[in-house]
This record gives sequence, C-alpha cells and structure tokens, in this order.
Amino acid sequence: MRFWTIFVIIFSLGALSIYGMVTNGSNPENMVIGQWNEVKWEYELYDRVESKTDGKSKIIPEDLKPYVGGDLKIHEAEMWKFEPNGKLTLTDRNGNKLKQLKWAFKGRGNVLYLKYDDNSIESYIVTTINQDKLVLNIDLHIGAKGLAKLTFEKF
Amino acid sequence: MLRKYSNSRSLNDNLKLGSLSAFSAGMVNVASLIIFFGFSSNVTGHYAILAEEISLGNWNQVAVVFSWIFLFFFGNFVSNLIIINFNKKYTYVAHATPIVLEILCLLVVGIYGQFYYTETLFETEVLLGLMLFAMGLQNGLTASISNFAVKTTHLTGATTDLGILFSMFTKKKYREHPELLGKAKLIGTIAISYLSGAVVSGLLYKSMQFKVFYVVSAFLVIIISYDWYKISLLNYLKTNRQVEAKSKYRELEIFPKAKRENEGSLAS
Repeated sequence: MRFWTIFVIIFSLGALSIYGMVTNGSNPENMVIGQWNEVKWEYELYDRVESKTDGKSKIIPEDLKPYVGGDLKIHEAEMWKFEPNGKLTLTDRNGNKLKQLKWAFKGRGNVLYLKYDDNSIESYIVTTINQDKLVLNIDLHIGAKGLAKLTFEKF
Repeated sequence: MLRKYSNSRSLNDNLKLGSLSAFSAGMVNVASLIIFFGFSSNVTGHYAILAEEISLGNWNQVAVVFSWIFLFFFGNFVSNLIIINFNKKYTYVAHATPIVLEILCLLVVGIYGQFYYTETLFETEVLLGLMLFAMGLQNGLTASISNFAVKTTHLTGATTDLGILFSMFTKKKYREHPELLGKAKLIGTIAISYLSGAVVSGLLYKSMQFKVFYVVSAFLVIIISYDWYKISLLNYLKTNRQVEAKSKYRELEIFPKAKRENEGSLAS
C-alpha cells in the first residue's frame, strides 16, 4: 500500500509538472514583449578588481576582451523593442532605428538568444525578468554568469 | 550487444554496447546544448537548477525542470519495464524496443527541428523533454541488460569509478586483477566514446544543424542491426546444420533402403 502511494505521488507530480510546462502561465516570452530602456551596463569582474567603470560606459576594457570573446557585439542602442513575431529592434534614444535582429528564449527560458542577419549569434543569461525590470548577463557558455550585466526598465 | 542479459554478457559485449551508445549520447547532449542551451543526457545539473528555482520561487521554471527530470526517469522506467516483461520470451525484441523508441524520439526532434521549429520557448522545452526521455530510454536499457555495468549518458559515476580504480592500480595485486582491469577498460572506453561523440556532434552541427539527429539515429540503427545480423546468421547456421543433419540421417536411413531395393530388383 505504502509503495503504491509513493508510486502515485511521483507519477502525479510528473504529470502535473508536464501539464504546468505545457500551460506555462507567466512565460518570459510574453513578459519581454514591449520596449525596454537600457539603464545600466556593469562589468562585474572589472568593477570588482579595479572599479574603473561608471556603470554607463559601453566600451569593453582591453583586459576584459579575452574573457568576453571576439564575437560579442556591444549594442550602442538605448532602447530594445521586442516584438511578438521574434523581431528585436534596437533604437537610439531619439527613436532612430539602428539594427533589427531576431530574438528567442532558449533552455528553460533562462537564455535570451539573438541572431543577426549575418547568422552570428549572441546569448545572454536572463537573471531577472518581470513586468518592470530585465537584467541580462553575457553568456560565456561556461556555466557562469557573464562579466557584463545589462539592466533594462520597461518603457 | 543486445542479445545477452546480465551476467551472461562478456566484457566484449559491454565494450561494444558501451562505446556505440556513449558515442550517440555524447552527440545528443552537445547538439541539445548548442541548439536548445540545455543538457539532455544528464540530470545532475537539472537537480541543482530545480533546487535553485524552488528557492527563488519561480514555479513555472520548477515545473519545466521537474518535467525534464521526470521524463528522464520515465524513460528509464519504460525501458526496464519492457525488458523485465518480455526478456524471457523475446530477448532481442525486448532489448531492441527501447532503442527503436529512442530512434523515434530523435527522429521527431530532427524532423520537427528541420521543418517546423520556430524557436518558441514552448517548442524548446518540449523538444528538450523528448530528448531527455530518449536518453532515459537508452540509459535504462544499457544499465538494465548489463547488470548496471554500462551507463552511457552521463559520466559522473564513471569518472568516480575511474578515479577509484586508478588509485587501486597503485597496488600490484589490483593491477593484475582481470576484472578490475576490464572495468577500467570499459569505463575508459565509454568516456572516450562520449567525448568523441560530443566533439563530432559539435563539428557536424555547423553544417548539418538538426540533421545531426539523423546521424545519431543511424548509429543506433547500427546497434540494433549488429545483433539482428548476428541472430540471422546464427539462425541460418543453425538451420543449415539441421538440414545437413537431416540429409545425413536420410542418407543413412533411406539410401541404404533404396540401395537394397535396387539390388533386389536387379537380382530378380
């Protein structure tokens, strides 16, 4: 009897989780739709080591480049507009369109994946996402949060 | 590879099964990591993530990660259920069925990915779940039929065993122990095969994308066909021997009788 109870509990939890996954309510894909205002760039390791950045500079310091990798494109945009059709438009503060790329969430919704027209790819770990705030860390594919952190607020 | 069960398996059987299935598991894991940013052949990391998500109260992500762990568990469950129910009557079929199911899962991922995948999170989560189920099927099969000697989808236990064995080999009496040497050879082969599969997958993905799952399926077909071929060959040889024995028996029984009849008619 006890055995079957454990059996039923495990399988019910499994079935419930699968149901939860399929009917995922607060999906990050829905939450990210809209316009986000870039408010802060931070270089975590660099800040810890030398405290040279003011939290606004978008220039990657030379000594951090080997860690970040050559492929990373630093966005000059101030506004990120996520559209439901998978398009991401980067604009400056005056609304001038700078770039258009494709976006998708990967993993369990913890990775934001950006694809450029030339097929180059960039990925960020989603540290925080809610109605007001979006925090992204550069994904270095080493299971650790990246060195650079981008913070956005909903526009 | 698949015909024999538990203690009747030789080291050679386990080496063949271990190397081929570890190679395919390595391929699947790296492909899923590149495409979906999630591991599909090991669940230790998922347990850690599950704990993190529970502590953060992200219940949607808890549901997703628990589903993945459950699907891996369920794959092992289904695999062993098939084996323990059909092993005695239809050994080969019982051992091949989990691999057939695994091939089907991987083909679904490959075909869907190639023709229909629109990169939504829902698709990513479901396809990753399907791959975890497939890896559970494979791991359940190899562990079950080899008496838990062969586990090919993750290397934590294997690396632990290898570390222990290597420390044992510092003593001469263990270095000369054939069973321990065989175990080290098996685990080493599995680790190298897994790594090779992972590297090959990473290289192939650049040009093949989702088609890489067809290559993995082809490897799994080799595992099934190898034993099917052997069984067919053995059956052929067995039938041949029976035919030969029967014809010899006939020669002894019938031919002398015919010879006698012939001699009788000549005499008359």
